[in-house]
Amino acid sequence: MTLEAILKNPAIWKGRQQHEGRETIPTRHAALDAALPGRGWPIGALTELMVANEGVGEFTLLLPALAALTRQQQWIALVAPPRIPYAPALCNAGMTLEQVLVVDRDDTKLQKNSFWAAEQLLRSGVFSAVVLWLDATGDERQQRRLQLAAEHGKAWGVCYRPASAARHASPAGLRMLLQHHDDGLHLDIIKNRGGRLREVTLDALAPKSDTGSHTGSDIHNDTDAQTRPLPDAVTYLHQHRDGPAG
Amino acid sequence: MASSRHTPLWASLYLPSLLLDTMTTDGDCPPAIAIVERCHNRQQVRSCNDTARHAGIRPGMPLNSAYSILPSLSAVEYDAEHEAQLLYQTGEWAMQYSSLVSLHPPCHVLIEIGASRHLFGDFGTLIATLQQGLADIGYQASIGIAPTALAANVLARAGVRVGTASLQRLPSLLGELPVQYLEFDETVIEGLLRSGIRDIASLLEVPAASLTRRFGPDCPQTLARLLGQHPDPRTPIRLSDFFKRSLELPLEIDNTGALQFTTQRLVGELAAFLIARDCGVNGFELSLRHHRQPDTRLQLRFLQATSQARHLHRVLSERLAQIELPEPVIGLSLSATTFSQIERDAGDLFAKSRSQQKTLGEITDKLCSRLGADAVYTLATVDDHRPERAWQKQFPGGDTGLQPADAWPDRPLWLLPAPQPATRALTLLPGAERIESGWWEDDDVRRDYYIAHDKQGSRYWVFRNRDNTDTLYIHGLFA
Repeated sequence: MTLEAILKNPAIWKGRQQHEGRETIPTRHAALDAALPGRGWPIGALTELMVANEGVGEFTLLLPALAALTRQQQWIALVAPPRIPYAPALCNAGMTLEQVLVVDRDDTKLQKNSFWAAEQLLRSGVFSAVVLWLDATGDERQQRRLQLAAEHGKAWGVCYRPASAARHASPAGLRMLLQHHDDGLHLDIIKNRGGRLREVTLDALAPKSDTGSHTGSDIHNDTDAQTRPLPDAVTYLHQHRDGPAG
Repeated sequence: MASSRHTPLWASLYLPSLLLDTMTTDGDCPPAIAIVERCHNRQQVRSCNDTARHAGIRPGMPLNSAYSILPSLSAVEYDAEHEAQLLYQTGEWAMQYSSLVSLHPPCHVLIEIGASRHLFGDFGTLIATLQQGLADIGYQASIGIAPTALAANVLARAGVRVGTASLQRLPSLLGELPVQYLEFDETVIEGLLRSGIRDIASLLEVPAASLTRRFGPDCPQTLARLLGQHPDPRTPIRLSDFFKRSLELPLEIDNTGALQFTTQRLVGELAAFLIARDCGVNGFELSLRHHRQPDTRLQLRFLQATSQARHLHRVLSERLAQIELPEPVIGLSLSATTFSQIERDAGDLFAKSRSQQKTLGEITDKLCSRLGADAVYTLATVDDHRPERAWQKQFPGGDTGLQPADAWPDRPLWLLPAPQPATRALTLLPGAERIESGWWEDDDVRRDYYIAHDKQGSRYWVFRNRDNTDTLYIHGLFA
């Protein structure tokens, strides 16, 4: 059996999937996958996440996709994370830590070095995903450079921005506003190239009261983690904003 | 007939202006420079660069006359030792093309290319390759190719770009050249010219016995070696164990951008040194010398040993752009002492991930050179109960050898560098995790950890000290 034949088996998850000519990375949240064209995070484009309050699950949202990439020996980069990315938590999320490059934030107002680093990493073609945290609202020109770098390097670029950035136009392919909701993390998709605008709530990211729910075998058995059906219980909140892509 | 397949083939590099070439700077209008030496109790010009030559200065001219023609001339004392050192360094550079390189002082480097000639294609391509390579490290050279070392030298000095591998063709190829291109003493050359012998063909017609009588036995023996009738063994140079190159700048340079030309030359020599040894460098040091201030030293480390001039230079340029010069630079030197094997791409299944690894090294080096080596890293968990000690930074791409740790209880994605007293109302979720550890060390920890949330829905990792339960500290965020 050739390697190609093996890879054609739909049971094998390849980290990147092609859907209607669009390369994506499954978000591994069923409701979100359903809302996105190509059923996943877009490769070769910038995803903008605007967050009002930190600590609402804004980074947890990305972890299933990022962790899966690292397990496929793909490189990912975290540029200018606002605090120390805590290795035990990343480990719990199933990340292969050796594949995660961290670039410290520079504490200047404009974060020029962080921005530069993210652009280099996206453009390099070495990194499958690059996540950047920006404090300032930033400008359209800057976001365009990130979008172009992601296109050039065929990488999934993610940029966290303050909620105020949602008011401004951006060349990013996918933009969403993240908010805490009693039922979970509420995603308001305000731009969805090739798809529809809608709102999604992921209750898997709701606060859990049971701290003992993660056990070793649950998290660290790789084959298990990759083939098991996704556990997300999902609620569609509204679909009233269906309409042409913005 | 000696033309077996083991007949050697020599490429001779003729480097007439080693000292001058190292003093040349980039630009349309380089300053006029002359190398001077003491001869019969007066200083005279030994050689000069093009700018000086265009002004009318010629070798052999007294320095006083040269100054009267061109008062702005920079005169530099001839340094035979330095010249020999430069020749040796060029020999080391040439070892990237062959394992047998020999020096023929003061101006020739001989490369035995019989074994590797098929790698280069025809002689024209080979000559062009060598010439370009030498130009990249800043040397002007002409190159000759012949089956004997002396014939290659003659062709190089004469600038004949036609090489031959055949001993039979040597007499006809050399015949038309003036005898001045032979490396005979001036007195021998003068004697030959007085006798009406102007080209090599005429010289070869003179019986050896007559030449011996007139000029001594060396003369016919040299001709026999020239034509391959006598053996002419050459001693190969040995490679030194470390790399160090220094350059004096004829004009001081006050900005790092203008240093690029010079550093490119040094880096090119380093790359050739590495290729000759089939190894890569793990780092190097560049020192910039100033008039009064102590040297500015830049230390560069590479994630993976590399021998690529392009990569070395890019990292160095990035680093140079970051520094402020305390004073103009008057000279610089580049040294490297740690080398290691380079991973070669194998045509196996993992070829892609290895080539990825290679560019990973390049990009992290690039980031480190601008942001500092501490700012770019990968993470690892550490088996320590104290939350602050449960993680550490790793050098990226290195083999960590760490086993995947056991799963941890619920941990926040963001850890605060230091716990902060909570200043807002938080709701604690039931279920504390008691962490007690490290009492035998200074910073022992006796804490009860909780997960808490505020009204906006932000979730925190908080604790109370068991000794003093009044204050609630925030230690992390469930981002």
